[in-house]
Amino acid sequence: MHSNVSDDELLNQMRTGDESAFIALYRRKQSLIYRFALRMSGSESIAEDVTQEVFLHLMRGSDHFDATRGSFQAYLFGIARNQVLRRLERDRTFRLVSLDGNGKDHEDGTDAPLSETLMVAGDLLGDLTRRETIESVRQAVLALPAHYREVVVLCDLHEMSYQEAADILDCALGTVRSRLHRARAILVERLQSLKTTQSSPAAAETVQVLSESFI
Amino acid sequence: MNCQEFDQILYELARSQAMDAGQRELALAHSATCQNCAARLANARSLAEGLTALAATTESQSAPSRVEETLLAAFRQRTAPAVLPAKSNVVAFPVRQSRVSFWALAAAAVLLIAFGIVAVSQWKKAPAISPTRELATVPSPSPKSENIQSAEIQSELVVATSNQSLKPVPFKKNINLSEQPNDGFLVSSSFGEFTPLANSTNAQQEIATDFLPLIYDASDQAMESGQVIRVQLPRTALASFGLPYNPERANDTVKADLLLADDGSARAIRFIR
Repeated sequence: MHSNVSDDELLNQMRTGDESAFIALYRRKQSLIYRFALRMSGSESIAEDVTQEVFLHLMRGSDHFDATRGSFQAYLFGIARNQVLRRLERDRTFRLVSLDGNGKDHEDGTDAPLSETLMVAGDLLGDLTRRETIESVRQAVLALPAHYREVVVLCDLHEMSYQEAADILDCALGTVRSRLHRARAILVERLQSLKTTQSSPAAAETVQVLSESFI
Repeated sequence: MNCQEFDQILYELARSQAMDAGQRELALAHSATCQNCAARLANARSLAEGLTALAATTESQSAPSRVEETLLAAFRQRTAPAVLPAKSNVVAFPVRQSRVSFWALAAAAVLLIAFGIVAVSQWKKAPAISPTRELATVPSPSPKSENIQSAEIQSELVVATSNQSLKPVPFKKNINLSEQPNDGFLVSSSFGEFTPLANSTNAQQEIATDFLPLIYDASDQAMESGQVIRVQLPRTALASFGLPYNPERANDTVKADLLLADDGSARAIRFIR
């Protein structure tokens, strides 16, 4: 019924109290928002809460959306991002986990020289099963600082363009590019470190502890 | 291409993203000759594969249906008209307003009860003095007559109310009895506190004005009995009744007789010199 109607038009109809428009808009966008929140937090509970809050916010203050400032989808992601960061800050459940042990992050967004281990590394995840690979990457992403994590989630997991991510994050395109570059370097470094750890006798225990801390 | 230039396009190359074909050839050629960059490219590809696999695991996930149900209920609640169904006989008030009304009514009830208790206690404490006896002790209202009868006082009041156009006296509503001891009264008003006088021993030397009505409709409520009490009040009260007074003695007091009806209301006043 609403398949050919644009987001903006659905929003206008929703503002007039059209329930079917609201349902159509929700069903069109909820999975995107839910997945974004899930990938950012690693928690289904948080993802559910955030999704609900985003659409409640839309219900209460949909007049705040300004089509001249960006797409409706970017607007929704912006709300979701704020909600996720607020939840993470409040819950403190998902503290940064330093997989390489030194806990150093270059949070200024500048590129730092890669470590020597990278220079000699081969296949990062070659020895892992598919399930272990996914779990390792997931943990490494969740361990990123939030401003790195969000660009990875948007650009690498949601496959958005730099410009789309910049619109959502309300920052310059160059900032997205540099943060993403740095975030990927950190991920490679951490996965390499994790691979090294897993080859040791304590590897299984470490993976188990990390898994529990994010579930 | 050098290592720094290679690093700039590393992840695009690893993710096989669209890029300039010539630049791609140069990058691959560089990685073939540079061991470090070849290792970085391999790691980047592994990461890209890992991220793709991670994205695929969550690609089909969506919010549970209960979220939609909750939101739909919220939407209906927001868009529902603010009226009750026709069958309902209950008048809808917002909860907050209802609570405010409740507390306002409760406060009013408490004040009413308190006022009633005070009024009853004052009434019971008031001495049951015969109007005639009380009026007989009133000092002389005029220099011509040192002993005045109650009938004279009443006639003066009646004359005053029937022959003169009464002007509103702004203090009438503010006059309240606060204490009624046997030997005097303490009356407060908007123009100051009345100081009760225990007795009037120097009545022979007094000069009094006529009784000045304190109420609008005195003509409709001619008094059959009442009490006269002697009080002191600031001299500024004279001005309130249109009488001359010396501003230099504004801090002094002046004696006055207050005529009270049986219900305790002040009906008239006269000033004594």
